[in-house]
Amino acid sequence: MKLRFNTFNDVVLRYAESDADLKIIRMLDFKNEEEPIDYGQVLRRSSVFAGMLREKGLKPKDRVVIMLPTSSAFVYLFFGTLLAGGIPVPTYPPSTFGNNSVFLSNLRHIFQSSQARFFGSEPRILGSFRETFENFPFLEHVFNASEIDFNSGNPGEMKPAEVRSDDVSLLQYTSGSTGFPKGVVLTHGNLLNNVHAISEAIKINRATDFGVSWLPLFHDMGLIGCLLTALYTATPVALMPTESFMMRPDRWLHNISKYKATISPSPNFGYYLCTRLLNTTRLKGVDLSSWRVALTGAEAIDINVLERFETLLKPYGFSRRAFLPAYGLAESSLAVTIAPLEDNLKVARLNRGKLENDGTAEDYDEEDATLTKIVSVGKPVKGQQAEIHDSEGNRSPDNRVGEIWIKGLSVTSGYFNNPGVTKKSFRQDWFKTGDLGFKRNGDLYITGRIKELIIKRGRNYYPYDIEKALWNIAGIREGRCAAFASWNHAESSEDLVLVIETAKTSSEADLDDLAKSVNAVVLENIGLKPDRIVFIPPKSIPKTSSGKIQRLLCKKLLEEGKLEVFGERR
Amino acid sequence: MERTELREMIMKHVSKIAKIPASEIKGGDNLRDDLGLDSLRSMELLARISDELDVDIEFEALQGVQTVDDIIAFAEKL
Repeated sequence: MKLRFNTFNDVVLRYAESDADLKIIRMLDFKNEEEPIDYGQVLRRSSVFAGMLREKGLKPKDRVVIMLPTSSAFVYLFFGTLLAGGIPVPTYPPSTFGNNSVFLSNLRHIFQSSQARFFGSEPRILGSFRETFENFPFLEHVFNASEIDFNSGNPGEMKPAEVRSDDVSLLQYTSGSTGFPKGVVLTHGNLLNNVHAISEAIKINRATDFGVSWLPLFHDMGLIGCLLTALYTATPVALMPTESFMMRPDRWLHNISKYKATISPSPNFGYYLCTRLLNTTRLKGVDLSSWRVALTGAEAIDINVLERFETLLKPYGFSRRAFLPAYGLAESSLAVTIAPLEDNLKVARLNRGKLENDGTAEDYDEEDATLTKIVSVGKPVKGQQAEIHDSEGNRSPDNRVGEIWIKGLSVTSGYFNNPGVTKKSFRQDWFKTGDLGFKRNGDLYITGRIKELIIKRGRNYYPYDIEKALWNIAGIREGRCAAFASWNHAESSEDLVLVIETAKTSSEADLDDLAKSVNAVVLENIGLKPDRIVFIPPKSIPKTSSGKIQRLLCKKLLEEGKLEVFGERR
Repeated sequence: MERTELREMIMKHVSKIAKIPASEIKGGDNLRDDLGLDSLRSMELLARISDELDVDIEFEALQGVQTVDDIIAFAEKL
């Protein structure tokens, strides 16, 4: 692939010469007030942070953990780390109402695994957890972003590090199946190839396009798909805090209208939130007719949600032609496939039974409960390959469900400091995604996944984390509970289902009490409310011969009514 | 909006989102521990209240809001 740049350092350095005054980022705050940032400022202010890192003894390839909400400081800390020759490690901040025990234990693992000596954050976070941070392994230097004067000194004196295309440019941490976050290693080349492929797939034109995004920058879709793509293609983007969208979804649409934006992505959850929360009396004057790419990815795509969104916003100029389904994952930098612009919403109407029981995609013409609709996520973007494989590792024919394996220029070489998991995740040079799907005439359709992951409103949760939290409850022990996801059509999201073994002699009041403890413990530790708690007799959770819980089998048995259930709470 | 009216309006939304009858909700109930609201649901609750009051909530001002009474006190200052 012919790239315009070799590294993201080149991107910033060269545009700061050729387009120094181009207001590439419009940073919006919680009041939706704009701060424009041009390429010259990105370089100068990032260089200020780079200089600070150097002064504190940053060595090439040193990791810098960055924990900030969507803000200009995020941009300067991210590129400052790269310019200094370090590796940025963006991580998610604690949620406002959530509990922090899981957050802190995951963060500790991120510091342990990345061995980061540097940490940049903001006063709210640093103030709440100062004592905890002081005990983190490896951590030596903490930067409070709001105390940094990004306009200070003489940033021109900072000599940018010499980096190459195959140097690491990002560690993207994702939670692991055993509860420990794993750092996906991505090089400048990986990211640039993906960003380039995305910009070709959606035909970005810097002269006519404009982006708007509320996606968090510590997540691949916001960071790579929005910020880095904008900087690479010199196409301006307005970035708003995620919470600003969640409190006022109309603001997202107002911003698209105000900037006459052409590109704005969201996971299924964002479109769903609009159908649920949007107050259309607030949409006076909104014109969405400029919106040509409403990319949708990062979680299962529900055609019903997209259609409800379209119906709601058609009077404001929104067109169905804008929806662009995509499939991606952190291990592939971001995008694996994107639907073609000219044939964007291809929906397979399939026989649910054939799909779920036989793993075959067979067309179904009736309008009844057997019908299931699956949206195509399109074809692999340039430089990426995606093929379906059976459990023996053989290539599957069209219309046959199997595991999606990927290979290409944007695919990670593995997990940081984790050769064991890396080895298990690859078969020769193919990365095994753990996602299930089938192909039909070159188009990919996602049907589920092998990996036991729960995706709730765009965020990933791991069953092991949830089960581990349950062991705190008297009467629940390791191996006697299983957590898994089950699709809820009404909510257009996955239900968190917990199956728990308990004595059959338990009274209704005992079950009430147990359910209450379960709810409290899961909320406390995971920040999520279980949707369904199912009680079954001892020793009825299916296990492998080596004693591992078979969560997916348990889910299948429950859904087919083959588990002996003697109590259930919602 | 009158104080009692405000309280009633907030209780209505809490009841709807927590799926608990308004009569069973107490002012001291913690959103997470007593009402079982996760952070997204809590945010949705505040979004609905701010929408009904037609005011903008500054997200950063929500630090420390934990109970139904906290929300009422917060809304009174808007």
